Amino acid sequence: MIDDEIRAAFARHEHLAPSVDELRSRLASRAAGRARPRPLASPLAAAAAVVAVTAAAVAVPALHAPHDASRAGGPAATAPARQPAAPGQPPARTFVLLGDSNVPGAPAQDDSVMLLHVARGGTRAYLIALPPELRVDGEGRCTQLGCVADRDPQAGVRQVVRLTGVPVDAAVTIRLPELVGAIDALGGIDVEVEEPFTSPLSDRTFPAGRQHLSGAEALDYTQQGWKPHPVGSVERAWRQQEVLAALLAAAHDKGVTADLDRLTGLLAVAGDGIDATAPLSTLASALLRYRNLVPHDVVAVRFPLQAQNNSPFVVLPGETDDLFAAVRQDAVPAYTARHPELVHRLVP
Amino acid sequence: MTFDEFVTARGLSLLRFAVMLTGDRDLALDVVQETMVRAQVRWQRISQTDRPELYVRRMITNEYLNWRRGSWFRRVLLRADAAPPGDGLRARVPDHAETAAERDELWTLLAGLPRQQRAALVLRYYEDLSDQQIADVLGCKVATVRAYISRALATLRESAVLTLRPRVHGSER
Repeated sequence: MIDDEIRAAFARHEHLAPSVDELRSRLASRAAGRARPRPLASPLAAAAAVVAVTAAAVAVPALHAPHDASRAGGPAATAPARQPAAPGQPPARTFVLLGDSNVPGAPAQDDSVMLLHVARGGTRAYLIALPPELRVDGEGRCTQLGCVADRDPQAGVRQVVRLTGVPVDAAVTIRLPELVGAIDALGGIDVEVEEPFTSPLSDRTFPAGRQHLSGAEALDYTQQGWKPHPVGSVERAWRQQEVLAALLAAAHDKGVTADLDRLTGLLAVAGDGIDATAPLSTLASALLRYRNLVPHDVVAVRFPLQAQNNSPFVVLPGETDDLFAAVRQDAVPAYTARHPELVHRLVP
Repeated sequence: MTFDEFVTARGLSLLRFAVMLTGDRDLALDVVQETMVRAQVRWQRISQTDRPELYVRRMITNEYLNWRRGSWFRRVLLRADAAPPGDGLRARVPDHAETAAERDELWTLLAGLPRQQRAALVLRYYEDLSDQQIADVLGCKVATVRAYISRALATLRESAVLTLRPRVHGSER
């Protein structure tokens, strides 16, 4: 009977409940936090917004998207699964980040699609941009990944799982225009401009080399490629990676502490009307879990892409199969050791 | 009963209740933590009610139903969101780190239900409350409660996990 099955399902999962000691510890931490008055300076509040972008991606642990290795010539479905983390050690997690740089009045752009893999132990993270021009099937009028992700993020995540064979723990869409204020409050961010270019949206010139960008400049920086790219608009995702990492680095430099109560309060202030309810403490808790992850240890893995003549689609090179297998097995450090030429350090 | 005594005596039960609502250990801890912080502030009044635990469970339910999302991210897609039942995506990579509980398909389907529907099922099948009591907790009419439960059961029946077993019609209360 369905009633009995539901009751049984609930009963089978009672053991998932945390211990009362954990609850007591949380409550004691909150009480200690309230006892110490802490002014919320605006740069720190902004820093919390930055932190939240990272934390949001790790806010939903232990959830796995399904795997469908239907990708033609795709990754081996029989790759061994990743090993469990040691007790007390953050487990390996993989997230899909959908980067949205769109602002009203500007030409609409598809969401950027990235994988964020946090290795077991939580001290290293890898960002892998997927070209928006990857071909996908079965999604109506959209035949490119970026289009699917932009119109239906859930379908976009399903396609990422199909294309890569990587089980996904959670997915987050990041609205980069929302971070302009946070960047300004932090006093700007530093990025390394690889090639000089002039933004067609603002006529702003970005010289090559290390540049200090305001919030508006950083948003402009993420909105287009520095030149027509032979293999599509993947560099928009690369730039978003740079800005997010620079933002995290600035927040880290401002000294946002690993204090649950303070982070929760900061998140509330930075949240523009969001009060300290469960999601905010979830973000703060997630951040605390990965507090050993410093911006310097967040790197991008950029593989060479192949364009097809007179085709709107981009083809993933064969070596990406090994990369995605490494993500599935939580063996990316070994992969990057074999392919140092693919590693792009986002924060010097 | 002091607040500390209440936490000691009923904390585990409340945490289990929150696990049933959220489907996730960490989220359950967050929900109970946030609720208890507020309950502690007004404990003197709560402790004077007829059933303090029922009052706190109602607070936990409301906390679960009223979650809001920050403005920096607009969508968090959970497993159930990413893979609606019946879309053929339930085949999964074996993960030795997962527990048998995490593989429970019915549990996964419950997680995919809208919050009000899941809360109604938890209150009926885990808490054994009557429809009127559930309506009191959720702050809605009895008819709405019955609609929540009816829709939830229909969703579960349509799922593959239940078609694997003999179908029994008219089994709901």
